[in-house]
Amino acid sequence: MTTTTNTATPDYIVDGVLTDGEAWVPLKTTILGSDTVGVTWTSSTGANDWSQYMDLIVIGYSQSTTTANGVIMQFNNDTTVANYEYQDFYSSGSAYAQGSGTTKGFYLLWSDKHATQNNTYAAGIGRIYDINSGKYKMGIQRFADSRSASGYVGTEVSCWTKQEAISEIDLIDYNGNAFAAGSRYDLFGVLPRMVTA
Amino acid sequence: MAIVEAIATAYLEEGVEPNDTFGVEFTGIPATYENLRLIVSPRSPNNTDAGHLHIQFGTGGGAVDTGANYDSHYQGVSGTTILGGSLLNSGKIILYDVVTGRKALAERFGAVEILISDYANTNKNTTTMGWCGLRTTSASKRNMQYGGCWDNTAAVDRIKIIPNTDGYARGTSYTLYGEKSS
Repeated sequence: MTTTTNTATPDYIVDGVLTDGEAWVPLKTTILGSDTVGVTWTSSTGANDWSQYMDLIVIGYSQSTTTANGVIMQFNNDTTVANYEYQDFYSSGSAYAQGSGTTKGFYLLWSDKHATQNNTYAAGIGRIYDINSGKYKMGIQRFADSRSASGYVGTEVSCWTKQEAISEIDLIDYNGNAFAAGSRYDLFGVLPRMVTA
Repeated sequence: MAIVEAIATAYLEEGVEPNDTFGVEFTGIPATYENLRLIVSPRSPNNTDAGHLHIQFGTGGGAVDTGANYDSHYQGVSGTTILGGSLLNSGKIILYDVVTGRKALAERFGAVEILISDYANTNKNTTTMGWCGLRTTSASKRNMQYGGCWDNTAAVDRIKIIPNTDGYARGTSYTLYGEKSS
């Protein structure tokens, strides 16, 4: 597993002065060279200090190894199911479904095992809102997975019922299995308008 | 050159004003981007479960267009209930049920993303696409998608966002992003 972390001085600070730079800042890239159980990202220094961002965006291309499942995001080591609410809406073929409740975290995407997916990786993108506020943390995730003779496309709205700022994200398989080699996960921080002029 | 730039951020103190008169307005939007993307984290001080957001556009440095020149479409779910509908020839684009009301805990806000495509093109009506997430009480939650159209080919340089209830609660935030092409 290779994880690249961007701890450089933020581009919006030029000679000690705030400027308008790129709003999306790449923070983490993790590429799995072999089957791997879980990925952990934490806030640190420089550009990777998450306390400067309004939102976080996670993009994943992933497969499971053992059973059909997906990628769950948990925050700040909170594994309490009751703290992660969801409302999903998805379809598979001509069937659609929807539901709500609590689960282990924010679903980033749904995927099947490598033996079924072959060279196709499921894709998902999620935006986590206002991560440093005292609000409960909302997320909207959109995902798609084309499998042999089937597939899924859908959206999931999630809420982490905690007020604390997010400083760690754990990407896990719902059943605790490994992610397949070749899976890739990227984390971006999104800045607000930094200057008023 | 930045590909995605934050044009403006509004992080609000509490305000209570009559219906449809209290809005956040982004003005002087330059025509230098391909798309605009509006990210909103809304809450209303109104004693409701969920309220709507209204969007209006302006051009040429003037006020926003309040005529019946907007269409809105939506689909989504609440629990196991499927929702859908549209409103044509209205005075604003409507995003149904995106603003968390005061019936919910104070920590709860909505989550909204609105894409405004090719807004500076003068040969196309302006179209929008949106997503929303909301959880107010155990019985009230939303996962919604939206389409919208302003029946005007002028370049957008002003956007007004209005709640359908009495203003915004403290902590409501709006950020408008511009996305450049190659």
